[in-house]
Amino acid sequence: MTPGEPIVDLDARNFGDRSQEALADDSLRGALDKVTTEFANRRQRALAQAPDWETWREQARAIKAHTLASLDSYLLQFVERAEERGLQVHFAEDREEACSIVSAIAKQTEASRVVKSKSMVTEEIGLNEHLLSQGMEPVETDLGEWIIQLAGEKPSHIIAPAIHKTRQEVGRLFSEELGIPESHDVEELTNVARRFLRARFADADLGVSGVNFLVAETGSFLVLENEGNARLCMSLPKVHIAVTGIEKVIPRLADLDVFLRLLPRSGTGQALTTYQTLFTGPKLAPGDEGPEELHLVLLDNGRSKQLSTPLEREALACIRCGACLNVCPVYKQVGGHSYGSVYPGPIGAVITPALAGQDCAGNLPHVSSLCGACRDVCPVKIDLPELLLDLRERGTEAGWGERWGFAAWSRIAARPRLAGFLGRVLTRTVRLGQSSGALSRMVGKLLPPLGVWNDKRSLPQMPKHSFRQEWKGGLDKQEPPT
Amino acid sequence: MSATDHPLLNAVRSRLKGTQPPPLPPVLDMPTARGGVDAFCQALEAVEGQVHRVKSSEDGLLILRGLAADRSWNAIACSDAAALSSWRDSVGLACHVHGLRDPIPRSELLEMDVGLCTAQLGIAETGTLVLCSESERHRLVSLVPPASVIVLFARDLVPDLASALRQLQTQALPTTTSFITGPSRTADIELTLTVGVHGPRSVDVILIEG
Amino acid sequence: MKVSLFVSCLVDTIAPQVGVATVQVLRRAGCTVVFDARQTCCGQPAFNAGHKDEACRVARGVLDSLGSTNEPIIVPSGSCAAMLARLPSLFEVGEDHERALSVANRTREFSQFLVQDLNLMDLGARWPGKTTWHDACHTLRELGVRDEPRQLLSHVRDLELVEAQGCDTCCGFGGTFAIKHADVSVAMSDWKIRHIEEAGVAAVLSSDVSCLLQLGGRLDALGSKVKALHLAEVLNSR
Repeated sequence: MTPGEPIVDLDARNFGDRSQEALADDSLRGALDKVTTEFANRRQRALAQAPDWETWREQARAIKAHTLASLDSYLLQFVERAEERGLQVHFAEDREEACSIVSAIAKQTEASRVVKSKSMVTEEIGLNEHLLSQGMEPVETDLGEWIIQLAGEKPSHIIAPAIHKTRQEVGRLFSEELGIPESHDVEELTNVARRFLRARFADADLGVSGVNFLVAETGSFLVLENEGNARLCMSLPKVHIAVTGIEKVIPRLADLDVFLRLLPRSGTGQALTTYQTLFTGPKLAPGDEGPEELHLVLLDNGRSKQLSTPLEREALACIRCGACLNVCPVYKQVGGHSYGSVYPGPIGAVITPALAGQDCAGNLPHVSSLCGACRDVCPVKIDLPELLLDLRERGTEAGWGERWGFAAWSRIAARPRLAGFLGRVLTRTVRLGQSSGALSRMVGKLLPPLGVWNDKRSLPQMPKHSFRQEWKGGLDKQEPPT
Repeated sequence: MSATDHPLLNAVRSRLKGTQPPPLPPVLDMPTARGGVDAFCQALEAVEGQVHRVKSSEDGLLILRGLAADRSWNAIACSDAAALSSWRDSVGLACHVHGLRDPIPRSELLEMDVGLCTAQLGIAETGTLVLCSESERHRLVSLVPPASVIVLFARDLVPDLASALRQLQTQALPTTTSFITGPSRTADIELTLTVGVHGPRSVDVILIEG
Repeated sequence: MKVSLFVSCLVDTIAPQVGVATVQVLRRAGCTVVFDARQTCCGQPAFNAGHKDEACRVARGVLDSLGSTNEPIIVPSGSCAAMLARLPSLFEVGEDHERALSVANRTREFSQFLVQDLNLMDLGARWPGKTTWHDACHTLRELGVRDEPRQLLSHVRDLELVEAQGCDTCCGFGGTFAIKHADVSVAMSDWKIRHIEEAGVAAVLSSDVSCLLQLGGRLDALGSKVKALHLAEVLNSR
């Protein structure tokens, strides 16, 4: 793996093919529609009980804007306070380094049985693949993550990674992979996970987790969850390594309050997740409960590239709630896998190009109709459409056809009389094409965008006269109607 | 290499060169939630937790014995909390204390039916229990057994998370501060809620108001 | 009151009847309508696709045709009105900036103008039939216009207005997105059309011709009887 190489298995460039597959998969689309609608509804219900929602959002936005603009000093403060409390902090500039740090700690502590709780960052760096290559077998313990690990798939949603799988598919998967009778009962399937993973928790010697927030003031980090698997990963094995992006830092312990009000409601519609665990250094005495060693890996991997302007910094404010996915009309149709990135949906379209490079993911900002629904729901008020526009402008995606087309069009549209004339030529041509199927196909070949349009959509009958012709032709002088 | 000179921080610093950070807003002064025992009970029951209100420690023990009988518990893992010391011999079932000098072996802990401990704080607005690692050996006892019984004194109830954080900050933070709001849950399969995954399947709070 | 019309390139070339209806409704509302024929396009198609220079080249025409007047600029398109509001950030210096500010400050989307500025909801219109309103994305989210069209439609005689599920979900047009990701674009329309059909309406109405082209085009291709009409056309019906 070399720096700058794509996020593992990233094939954002294949959005076209993958979205075609997704669109043809009725079962997937049914699941996506159901799930995104349900998540969005739950969020709405939670907000109905939160009259101060907009105040919280603005507070969170302002905290992030300040913190990210002074990220170096907050990271320093965090590291100082954390190390005072005995936390072992490691810096990783890229995914390769982060993986090496984790496996080095594992080797040095002679740990090989690894349990993992849900962490987008560890997917981003390809940690599981790396640990496998080092002879370790990391086991995912979050139910959704375990399901997709068994299935050999990537997560399709930030919050609910196996959301694309029906209960029947999960039942079949468990039956095939675990050699048990096939069940389609959700409670039974959940109990299967509990049974099978309990033994893994018990004999693991390394637990790897993600992080939701870093608190600079106290050198603490917070992990939140519902299932209890993270707590088990972080409490039973003798070593706990937490991996996080550098952008997760917030200034004060007291700031956790507003973020904990926003995140669960935005993500799942809960007022609070079942567990939040705040770590402030390793245990104080050898006989105390908990791991012998506590490590934290701070990862850059392209995040620092997004610090240069206030607009780009907004993207780093993301608290990974998934709300934008749940309202995105594009995501609803094609799901997470189509984006070919660990981070799908609107936020994925915005951060993947920075994390993986323009070459791999420069097309993602164009996978959006710019509807703005994401901006409305983002708990930290990231202006996602503005970021998408900015990326489109700075990107080099357009082929010569598009560039030539817009160059020509803009010169024509800057000349009203020429534009009027050519506009009429165009509509006459299309009108001609509308008189017969064969002519229509010819016109479609002449103007490829028209051909694409006509494939699945009609065009209205082209008018004989343009508006400006109507205006000159008498509309300008018409008496006001009664 | 000190953190200050690390290339990662240098990269961050150079990207931020010349930036004027907007001000950090003061901590939001949220209207204090309706605190108190009723709010706590309502919030915890809304997430499938159970609250048993009693006037005294003796009554609390009776509740525990009742629960043990109803649910056919055989063995209980108990934290080393001083407040529970009088309970440990009177629970009426095998009670194993997870003490410093004689911790419960892991293999045994995994077989226990229920874990018993106290909470250092309770948060009324959300029905949350706050467990501080240095106050008591309850980290595993509150997590591993499938049933969890947690004793909370009403005097340790604070209205909201902000108050809890303020209170925690009056001293050095514990190495591990656990916030627990009800039994474990998941909706990872088809968004269907299932209570009881890897953490405890049930949480019973014995709330002592005396 | 004198008003200037920015009709939009789509209305001009493909849907002139919407422009005609807009003019007639404005006149009925007591306005004198001016149309400066030097206008062409607001530049949005290029801007949204990431071609800022081309967008500016085109949008300068807006500054030339409308930048030095004083009257409100009425736009029968929420997305174009939103683009005109953006012009000051495209032309940041000098006289261009002054003219851009002038345009942005005077731009009013059609329904916004009638209800908020003229305080007018009843245009004496009649359009018998069951309809549903599609909230175009820019109209809803950038201009904050949600109630005004509904208020206007509630005064149209014999018109029944029902809300369809997902009325504020994007139709899938999105400019060049409709071509670049045509299948996804159409799938987004199909999702909406299912809910529109469920509502059992004769027509889906909107503030933007781009949305109507997309929804109407797909409805027709699917063989549906549901029409796609602009608000102005309905308000101009007797």
